[in-house]
Amino acid sequence: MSTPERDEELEAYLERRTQLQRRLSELDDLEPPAELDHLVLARAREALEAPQGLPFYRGTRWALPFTLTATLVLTVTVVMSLRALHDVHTSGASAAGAFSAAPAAAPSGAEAARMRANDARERDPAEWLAHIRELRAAGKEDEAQREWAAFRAAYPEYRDHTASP
Amino acid sequence: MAADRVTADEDDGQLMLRYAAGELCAFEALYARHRAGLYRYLARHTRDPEVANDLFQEVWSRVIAHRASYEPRAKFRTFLFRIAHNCCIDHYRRARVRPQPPADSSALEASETLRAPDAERPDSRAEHAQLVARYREALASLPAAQRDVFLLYEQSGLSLEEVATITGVGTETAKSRLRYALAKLRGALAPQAAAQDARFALSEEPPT
Repeated sequence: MSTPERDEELEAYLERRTQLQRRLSELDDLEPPAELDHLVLARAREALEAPQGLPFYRGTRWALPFTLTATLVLTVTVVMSLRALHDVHTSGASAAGAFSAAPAAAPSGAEAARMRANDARERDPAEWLAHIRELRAAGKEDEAQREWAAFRAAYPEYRDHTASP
Repeated sequence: MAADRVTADEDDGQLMLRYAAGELCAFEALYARHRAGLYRYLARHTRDPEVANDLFQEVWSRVIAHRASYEPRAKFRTFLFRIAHNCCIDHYRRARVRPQPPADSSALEASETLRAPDAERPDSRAEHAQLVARYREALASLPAAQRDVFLLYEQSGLSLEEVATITGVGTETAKSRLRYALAKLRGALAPQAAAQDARFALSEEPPT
């Protein structure tokens, strides 16, 4: 609720022209106690005498770029490690694929002989010789010869005390 | 509170920079200039001498702590009373109370000395004491926002625009609050003024 009269009074007050302004300052001459003066001035003196510590907010000035750099380096390292690990797995898988595909494709002659010898060593020699004799008895000479050659490759030192197949 | 190397017209901001550079005398001069106004603002705002004393120390502690980062972009008064205003707000938040007139303001009144001129007669001193009491009562009865604007304007010496900035309101709002505050204070003082030969009337001073 403002009236023109009050507005004028306010403007006068704002221009520091009224008696109220002067009287108010006369009415209120409150001052801080002397003990407060001593406390504040002592604190101001101590602040100058105290060694300047490193305020926390100053730490953030270098901590922020340091943190960003460390994060970047760590990220790049992790990514590179993961990529290298991925490469190893990929090459390992392709090599394994090659090994698994080789027998199905075309084993070399030496490799095939070695594999056959390994299989042959798992057969009982006496039974194997009996099987060869049965082949010969049945007139399957060629097959009997292949089996005999395989038997000899697998058991070159074997001596059959009964008789030659 | 000697300030040997400080001139009377030296700018507050310059004094603050000198204090930040290690000159205690600059702070002493700065303190001498603003101690009374700041204390009255806090004491009249909180109406509790203990709280006013605590906040007074807190304000100056913040000034001291911010000396290194202080930049004289605005008036030192604005810087100082902005801190004081914020300290009051923080105090009310901590206390979880709205600033209300105290039920008994005798604590603050008892801590003060009513200074009537010694040469005056006892009846004049009594009138003066009565006027002071009425003024304080009227001030305490103001809504917090009006009292804040009035005290900031009265004690800081800042312009109304600067007071509005500190309190976070528009200039017109600050002006309105000040107008209401003045009207209430004038109403409280008017009867006494009439009784005292109209010395306290809200009229312009006669041209001299």
